Amino acid sequence: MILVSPLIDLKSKASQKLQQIGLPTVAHEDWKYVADQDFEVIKSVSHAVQDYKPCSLILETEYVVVLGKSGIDQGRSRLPKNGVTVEFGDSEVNQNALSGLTQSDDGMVLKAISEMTGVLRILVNPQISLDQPIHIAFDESFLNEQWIQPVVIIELGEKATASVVVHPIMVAGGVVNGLVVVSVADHAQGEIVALNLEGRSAQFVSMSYRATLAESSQFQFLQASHHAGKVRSDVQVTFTAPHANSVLRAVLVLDDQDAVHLRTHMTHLVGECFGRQLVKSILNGQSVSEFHGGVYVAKGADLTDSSQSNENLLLSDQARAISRPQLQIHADDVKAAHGANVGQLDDRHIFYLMSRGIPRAQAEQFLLQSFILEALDSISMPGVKSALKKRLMISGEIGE
Amino acid sequence: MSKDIHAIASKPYEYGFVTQIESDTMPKGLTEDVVRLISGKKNEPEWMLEYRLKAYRHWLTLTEPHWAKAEYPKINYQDIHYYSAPKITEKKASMDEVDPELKRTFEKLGIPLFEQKKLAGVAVDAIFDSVSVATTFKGKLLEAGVVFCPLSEAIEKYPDLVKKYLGSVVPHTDNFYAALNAAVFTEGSFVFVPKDTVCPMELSTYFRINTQDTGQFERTLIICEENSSVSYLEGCTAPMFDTNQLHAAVVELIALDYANIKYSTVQNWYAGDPETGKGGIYNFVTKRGKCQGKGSKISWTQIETGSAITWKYPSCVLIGDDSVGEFYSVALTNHFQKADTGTKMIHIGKNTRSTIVSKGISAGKSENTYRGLVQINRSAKGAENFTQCDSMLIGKQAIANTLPYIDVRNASSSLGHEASTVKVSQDQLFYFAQRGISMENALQTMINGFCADVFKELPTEFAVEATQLLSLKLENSVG
Repeated sequence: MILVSPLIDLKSKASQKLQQIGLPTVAHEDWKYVADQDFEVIKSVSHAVQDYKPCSLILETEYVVVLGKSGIDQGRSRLPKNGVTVEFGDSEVNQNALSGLTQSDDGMVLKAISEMTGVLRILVNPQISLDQPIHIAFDESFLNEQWIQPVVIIELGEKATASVVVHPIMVAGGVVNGLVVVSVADHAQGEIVALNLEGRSAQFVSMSYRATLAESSQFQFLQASHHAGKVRSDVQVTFTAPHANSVLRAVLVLDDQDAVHLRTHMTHLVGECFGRQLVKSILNGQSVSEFHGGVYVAKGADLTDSSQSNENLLLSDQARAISRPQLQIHADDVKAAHGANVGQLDDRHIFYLMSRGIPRAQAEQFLLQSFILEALDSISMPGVKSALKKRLMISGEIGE
Repeated sequence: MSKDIHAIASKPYEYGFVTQIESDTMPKGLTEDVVRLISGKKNEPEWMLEYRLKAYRHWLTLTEPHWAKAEYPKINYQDIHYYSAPKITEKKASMDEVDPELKRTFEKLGIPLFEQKKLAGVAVDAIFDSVSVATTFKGKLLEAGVVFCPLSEAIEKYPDLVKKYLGSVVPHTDNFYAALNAAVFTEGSFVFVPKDTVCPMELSTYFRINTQDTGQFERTLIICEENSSVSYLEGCTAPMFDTNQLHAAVVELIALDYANIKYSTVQNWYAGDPETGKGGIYNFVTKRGKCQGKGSKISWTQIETGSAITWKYPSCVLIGDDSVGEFYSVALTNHFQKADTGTKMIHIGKNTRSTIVSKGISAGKSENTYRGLVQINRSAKGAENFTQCDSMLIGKQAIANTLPYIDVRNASSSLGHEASTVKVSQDQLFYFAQRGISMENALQTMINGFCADVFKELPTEFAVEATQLLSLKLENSVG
């Protein structure tokens, strides 16, 4: 695919900024505990990983966009017909959506833009309400890349409704650095489920999500991490008009050497918006979860209601939970709060279940399941919800 | 109603006077010779000079930190007097011999310096610029075995204790300001409570910066041996100058087995001009306590109302099994003040417990940041922490930040952190007004309610002072 001028201009701007600030390093505060990669020296790229089958999560009636390096694999995709545009390439719209990000202070976002080979754009026209979710899956053409950097733009027109599932990119040895830009127009409703599964064979998985919400819009986001490997997710929501509503959730079930750095940030530029962040981790083995949550309420953004909550269950002495729920409040008539808890399964709860004849292992399993159920139950897509529940809850690792 | 609140008259900083007293002030600037001169003025032994020089040389290798949420003009460390003392360096046998002007200053500050105020039951060490002026009740304390004296006197009389503990909690390599302090500290308090002793009275130190362009670098060292306990209070004021003054103190607390140290601060340094933000104290202090012994306890309580900029994180290193760390703080900022304060609780021993209660109130154009670390190490099995940090915003221009860092590394400990941001709402003020309660009293009542968890931890005498101080500071700020 040959790019035409608008994207070339974006790429060069992003590249210039990237040269100024460089890629994040261990010394970068946000990466303090998790990343120990020197991204510049990643060399080895090997074979494809076979143990993840995206199809198991996709129902036959649901839409699928299979993206390859050079475009959409039309043969394997099932695209929605009416009122939805799915295209790969470049256009003025793409430029508008990405131009603000070329001055981002995040080196990973800059790198994704400066090296993109095209943009997958999903446009849901105003008033269109999709009855089935759209799955974005990635084909094998990425597998031999050192850096796999898909850029996706999702635009919901006024009063449109859509759910999107972003599947993981299967790779061994390389670095995944994805960027998903979402804009939700007035009264529109968007939902994204980001699957962060089977990433252990990648050197590093970085996914950046940037959502902009217009008046009375809604945006829900859920990340599910399991067998995640080394991961950095950065989800940022900006409220640009009143009465918008956003809930960011994450369920991290980690084991072995999994290390997930999750940054969720809500920027309230205007008042009368509602934001929630809920992150739940179950940590076993030598896994690490680092939650870095942020709420920024700008001057004059009164009547904002924004809070964050981070709950961690530590099941192993080698595991580690780091939590940084941060508030920056510049307006005086707001409701803002955060909470963080780190603990273990409550012996009294186990005893309660055991006293009713439930074996200890099963009792623990029940408690762990109920711990993450709160977040999983919010998924509106039945297929994805049941598949995720099955994967995360019946997983042999939990409760052992 | 907002206008009514605005109309409440603002009371100026009442401790902003300058005492006209002859003083012995060293020329500005910092060199190795200045460090030697300070040591010489204090008649210090060779080992102390070596300690200072080592710290000074290390300081030269460091760069000034800028990570906190505060912007200020670059400090010129060569434009500061590192030593200033009233010209009465001889410690007086009787209080009657102290310069009357100086006594009047301490009277204005409300310090119970005189022996006839024994009823107050507080032993006081008063520090004026760089030297300790008077210490009261020393005799009575010594009867109980408690040593309470200026640090310079301790270096002379108890060199072994000072050698053993000075820098053991905050080494000179700890940070930029700790290194600077170790090189040039001029005074401070020393407290030693021997084994099985309960200090018979509250100990108190008042710090006063009087000379313009003076830095105050005091150093406090408190050691509690096994089964002993002490409650220590400090208060701080400074005159109004339109240049900034640097205060870089170091406080080290050491608690051995089952010892108990309670350290309370009411900090009311000059905060700068309310209209322009010009002047005021840069309060960059390092305070840390080491719960070294089993079952030991260190409790920090602070009421921070002054200073142009405050960076302060009184911390506890919980090494002994079953040791306890506490931090209760009210930080109030108004006008152009910036406070970046909080605590660090480092859990190392088994079954260690820590509690953090922080209340931040920001008014005017000020910025108030809570920054705290709770780190539960792998060895700290069964450790527990509870943190609550609440912010109250008064006015449209104020900023409140909450920046906690939580790091848990074992599966048998538990931690809970809660934070919220609230405002003084018109509804609440209206409720009081309906019942005939003035705006001023309504605000004071609400602030008291907001801060009650912290005030109840203060010694009674300080709690009353703190309540009044807060309401004075907030006048003319609600809208």
